[in-house]
Amino acid sequence: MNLAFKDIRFNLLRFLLTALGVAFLMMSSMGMVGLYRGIVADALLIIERIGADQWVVQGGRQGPFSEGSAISSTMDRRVEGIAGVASARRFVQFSQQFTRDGRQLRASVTGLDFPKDPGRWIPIVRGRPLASGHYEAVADMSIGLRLGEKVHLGQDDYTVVGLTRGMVDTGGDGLLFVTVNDAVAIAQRRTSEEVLLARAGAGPAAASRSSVPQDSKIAAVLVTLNPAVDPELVRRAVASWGDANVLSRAEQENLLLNQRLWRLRVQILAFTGVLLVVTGIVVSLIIYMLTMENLHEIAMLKLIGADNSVIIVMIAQQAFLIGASGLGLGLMLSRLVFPFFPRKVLILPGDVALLGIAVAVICAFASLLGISRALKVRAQEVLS
Amino acid sequence: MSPPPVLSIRDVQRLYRSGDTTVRALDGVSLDIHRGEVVGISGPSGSGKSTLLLIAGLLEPPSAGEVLIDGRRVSHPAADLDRLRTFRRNHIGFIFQKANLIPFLTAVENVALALEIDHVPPRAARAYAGALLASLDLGHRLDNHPSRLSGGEQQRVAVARALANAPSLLLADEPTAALDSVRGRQVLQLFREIARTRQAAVAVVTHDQRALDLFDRTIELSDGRTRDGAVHGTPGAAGTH
Repeated sequence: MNLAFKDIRFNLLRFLLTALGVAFLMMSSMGMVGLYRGIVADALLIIERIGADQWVVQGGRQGPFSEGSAISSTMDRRVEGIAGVASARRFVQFSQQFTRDGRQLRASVTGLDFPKDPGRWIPIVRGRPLASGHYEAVADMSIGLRLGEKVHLGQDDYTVVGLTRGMVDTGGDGLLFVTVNDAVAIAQRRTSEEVLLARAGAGPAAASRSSVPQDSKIAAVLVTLNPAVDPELVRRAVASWGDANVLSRAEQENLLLNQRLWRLRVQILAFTGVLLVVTGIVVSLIIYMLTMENLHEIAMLKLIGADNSVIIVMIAQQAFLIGASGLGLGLMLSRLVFPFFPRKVLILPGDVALLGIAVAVICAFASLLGISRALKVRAQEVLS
Repeated sequence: MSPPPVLSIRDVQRLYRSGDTTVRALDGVSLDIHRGEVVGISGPSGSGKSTLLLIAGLLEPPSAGEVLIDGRRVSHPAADLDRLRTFRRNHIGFIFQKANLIPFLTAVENVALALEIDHVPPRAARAYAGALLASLDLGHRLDNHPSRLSGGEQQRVAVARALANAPSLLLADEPTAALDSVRGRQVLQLFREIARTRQAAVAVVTHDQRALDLFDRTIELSDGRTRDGAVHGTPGAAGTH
């Protein structure tokens, strides 16, 4: 006879409410871990998807993600001339705020070096990649634009020809892909007064107020190497110019994760740790209280001669059933709720497995608390 | 040679410390109960009845003296009672004022549990428990939880549970206190029937003066001692009622 199951079936509502409480704690823990994973995934998204082996950026800088970078728009031609370089693409990215139907929208405008790169690497869920050198855009759904919609950026109208899902920048703004030339045009938009002042000789001052430096057009050049080439040779060649720096994909990832996002990551991990400790304490208390509620029955079991193993199995089974139900229910709730959150919450199987192990440890600890109390109960307490 | 008494308590003392003073809950009590005998233990509150029952039931060790069950010396001042759990399971059945049924088990499961704990296979345990309850007129209540049973029915389930492992000794602490006089007498008559048919020894702690006629013997305790001249009836003369 399985006493744990019998008790649960008899007190089903109590069990469900307990499991639901544990599930919400699990969901919160999964949410914190998922938020951390989401931020890391978003940060690395463009670096991993864009398929560059090296990034040529402004000399003495480590751009374009961890700090600013501005290089000549013809730098790609110089890079293409280095032996071992298979292709070089220009890259630019900047945040842009614009109005649509009276609503302020934000996007991270990302330039694709069309026609070399029409954006076939972009996971388009509706529509198509760029097919024209001007006035087309592929937008992430999170921006709030519709397929076929025209959006006014800079001084031109752009038609949304494709939609992506989950393509965002480090800050969580949806990516809006246009050609590099269009992106530069959008970035260089100046008011009439700025143009007049520039003509009057106040150029540098006026230019410095624009969204990107005016004497440079792009942020980086993306380099794809021939498979057999030594990346160090290309790096040395670019470094010898003096006005450019080379970062590998691994260096870009490292810069993002361990410098730009370092504090945020540590903060989220610290909160996750605190939440797991709180979860552990609350789950332990719940299981301990359930054991306390059953002390009279435990005394009765001892009186009728039950071995300690009967009592231990009952308490441990209940603890693990609550833990497992809480974890399963928490996972279900997470899958239902987190897609509606504004930032990506990434629940990875490995993290769920780790959380499962943590829950098992918590349940084992809680069981030990309950069991140690139960084993102290004396059979004659039935009479009290 | 006549068989040994089922329960033999020999010169048992039980002392409790309360601050600087020592309370003598039992002071040199001796008692034998034989097969088929129903013995009433009465006395005022604090006279040591329940302590006697705890010592006889191997739930507390005596401070001095010894307890023999079926001729085996099982409890004495140095005894480790926790190790006697299996012995208790197979030799002693308990019934209390409250039925103390496990609330999340049905009537038949409460009885079958006592058997399963003794390693009887679940199907056989349930069948035997069902038959036992049917013999106590509870065949129609097998699948009811305790909360759906009346006080008398609960007490009969408790009796069935106590009988499940066919113990030679049945100990009852105020089993009729929560029942009306009619139901109370019915329970005591059930004990008589059990003592007769199963050849078990039954010790019943009771306050109920109306039920004394149903015992083979009564032992009256006062201040932890057997009162002089308060043992009514002859040891071993069972079934005269």
